[in-house]
Amino acid sequence: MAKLVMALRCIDGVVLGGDVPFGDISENEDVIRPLSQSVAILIHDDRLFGNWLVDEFLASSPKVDVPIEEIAEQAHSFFDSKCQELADQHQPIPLIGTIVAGVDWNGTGEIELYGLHVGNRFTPIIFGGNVFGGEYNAIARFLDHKIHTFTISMDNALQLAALYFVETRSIPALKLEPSLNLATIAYDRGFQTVNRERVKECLSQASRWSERLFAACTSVFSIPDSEIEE
Amino acid sequence: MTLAMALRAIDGLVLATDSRITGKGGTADISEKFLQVNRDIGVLTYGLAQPGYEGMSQLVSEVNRNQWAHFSKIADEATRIFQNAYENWVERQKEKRFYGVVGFILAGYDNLETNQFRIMHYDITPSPEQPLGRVSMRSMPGDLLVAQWYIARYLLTKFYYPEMTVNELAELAIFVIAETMTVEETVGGPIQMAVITQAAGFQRVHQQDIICMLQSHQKRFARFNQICRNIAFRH
Repeated sequence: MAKLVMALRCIDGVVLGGDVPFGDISENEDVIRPLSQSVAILIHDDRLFGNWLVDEFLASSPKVDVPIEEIAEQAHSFFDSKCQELADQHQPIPLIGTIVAGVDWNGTGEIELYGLHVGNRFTPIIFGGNVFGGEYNAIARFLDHKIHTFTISMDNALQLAALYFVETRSIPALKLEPSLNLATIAYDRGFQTVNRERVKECLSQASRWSERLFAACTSVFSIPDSEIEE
Repeated sequence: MTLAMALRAIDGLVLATDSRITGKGGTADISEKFLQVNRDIGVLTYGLAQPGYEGMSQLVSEVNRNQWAHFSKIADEATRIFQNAYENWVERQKEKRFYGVVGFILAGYDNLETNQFRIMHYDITPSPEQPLGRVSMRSMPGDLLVAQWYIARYLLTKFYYPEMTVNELAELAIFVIAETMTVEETVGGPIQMAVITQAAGFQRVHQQDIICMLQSHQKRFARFNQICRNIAFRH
């Protein structure tokens, strides 16, 4: 299960991330699946079913050199029809959501992010800010609300994604997968997977920030109101 | 959804919840999710507002009518009362379908048997096998946070320390609920709170006092925001 996926805007593109099992996983088990050089799809909750849906979608040869809104619409129709087939066969429909993210070279030229969830039959919802998916995305949203700005660099956005992952994993009851996958879609380079070494660096940095955050927080309630500086 | 919590301080319990109800017609911040059961015990509800309130009020009236005093007796009878309240409510609904989760927290001081502060959790989750659900009851040895609890738990791991008194913990609960409200749309409205101590029993915290606590937290909110902003990107 993928319990935390995210698409974070930054000044030079968008950073994509999601929790995955340890070790090498095959491409069709990942939470980040490229659809083209400028568009990718993130899968949350039932990762395996989501990958099956994306595999089937790609096998149906969707048009990907069109505006992202159209890609999201195609995904909506396709995913909904596949789930309807399951329902017709009286099979349970797994909990599944996706985020279609990319640089809209065929339309606005800007980053566009759409959320598609089984709960509303994959009707695309466009997001102006960052997008988070998965059952355990609340802490990431909370921190993002406090830290993220649209002018951060891609490097910093990668580190933020790692921080959100580390902070969510710090709560034992929130059982994320143990590792993090990251990818970027840059205006100048398109889609790129972030290699394991770089992910490791981001996670180490995030762990240091996490320790610092914990230490700094002790002052919030231990220092009397009157002594807190304006 | 909502955010409801029962927290353990060194000298008692803090019970707190928001007051938002969310439905097809939008949201309203008018829900009463909290009642006093007797001198030492309170009850909270979350999930479906109407059967939740009915369950709480039926518990209170049965405890008063039957003069139940033991925590264990009230806790056991609550299972039946909550189940009946939920089934009766479902029966009255025109639309026959699965309804959502409803849950309760019963918390207080057990002064007749264990001489301890106790927290019980009741949860009714309907399923295809049991459309009317079945109450599950659990005794909670630690704190209990339910419904939209993720952010609250995260903040408590940062700010809570075991030596906190009821008054300190009440302030922390207000802080945590207010911070949760900044991002969770289904948590909102006036905060409802009570504290339970051995000496004074169940005491509802007045709305005016909650507002005062919120005002006194303003520097803390700012300080926490500043910490979050400053922590990242410094090598």
